[in-house]
Amino acid sequence: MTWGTLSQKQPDADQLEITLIGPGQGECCIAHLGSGRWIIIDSCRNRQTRHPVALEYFEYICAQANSVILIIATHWHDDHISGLADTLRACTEAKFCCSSALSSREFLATVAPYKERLLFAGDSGVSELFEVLHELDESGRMPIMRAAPDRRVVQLAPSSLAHGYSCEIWTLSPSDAQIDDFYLEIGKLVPKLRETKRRLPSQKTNLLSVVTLVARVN
Amino acid sequence: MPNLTTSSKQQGFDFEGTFSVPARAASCDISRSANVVSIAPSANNSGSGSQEVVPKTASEQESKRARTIFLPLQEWEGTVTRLLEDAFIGAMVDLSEREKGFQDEVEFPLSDLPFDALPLLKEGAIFRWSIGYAIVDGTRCRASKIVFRRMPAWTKRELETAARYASDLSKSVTWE
Repeated sequence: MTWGTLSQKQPDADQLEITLIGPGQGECCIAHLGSGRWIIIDSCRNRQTRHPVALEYFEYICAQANSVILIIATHWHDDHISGLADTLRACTEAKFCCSSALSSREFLATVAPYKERLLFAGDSGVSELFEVLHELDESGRMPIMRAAPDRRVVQLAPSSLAHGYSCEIWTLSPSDAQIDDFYLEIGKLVPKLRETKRRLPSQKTNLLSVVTLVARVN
Repeated sequence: MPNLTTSSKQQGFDFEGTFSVPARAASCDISRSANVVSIAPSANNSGSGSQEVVPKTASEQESKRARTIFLPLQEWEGTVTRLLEDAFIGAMVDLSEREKGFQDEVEFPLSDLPFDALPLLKEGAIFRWSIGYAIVDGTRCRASKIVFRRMPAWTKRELETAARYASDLSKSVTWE
């Protein structure tokens, strides 16, 4: 991936800008809310450099990673969270938001046996997720913000933003019913004693997907 | 259990490191579209002119194996991600660029597999796909090989360790 066609200029302080970067399957969304405040939704890596694209983008436009106020993981598929732990490590002021099911004891117990990434070629979304949780714990950035239907996770006052509007970030999902369905689905993945090892099968459905609304409010 | 046609057996993919090829080249047509690579047997590979040399006895089989050499040119490690009616999808990592860890999706017809590989075909199963040359009795031909890894089973200790790890980690998680 090259940055050649992308403007190197930082957005103006009064501009709300959304940038989508990715290979077409699993993207990273970076939003400038105004006055140098940023949020990041999901993560992927540059195929050539292996660095998280969000961090490369900030370097490219000379923005500070510590001006990121929130990182959202929409779900745990490999192609949406690759590089998320490195991004979180660099964005020292960012809070973290995801579905509560992603760090529930039931979910972690199911996927923990699959975390060994040395076993097979290729990345494991499970390993990345565990790394994120460790980073949050070790850097003292718990608690996690819970993504749920119609939940406001960020509210910036008009006086703090150059465009003079309030800016709000809302999560619109997952619902309780979706989380129940998710638990039913991952229940099938529980490894059984003396069962042949395998890689964690990819999930056909995206039940925990966090739909995010970025709103400028008058 | 999927049905394999006679011609599928003639594709010559063997199992567990052994390799057999039809009398004519076991070549494949490989086409790439976006991130999906489709593989189909070559037209000249399944026609009436293609005849497989089938060893009749164990000693003949041993003799045939001894005369067959496979020289891989490119290898991928794959994970079965989806089972379809007559094919399966694999997420493939190019082993020559393993450190990059990027995956491409490839669709393999079930007819590319020998019968004894079918019980191992499950979502999450690991396999290696090699393309290269098979040298049979000094004759070189293009060939492709799929070998499923026979993985060890989960042990009680591994599952208990994982459960403890998950329990400890979940205790450190708090919510707003």
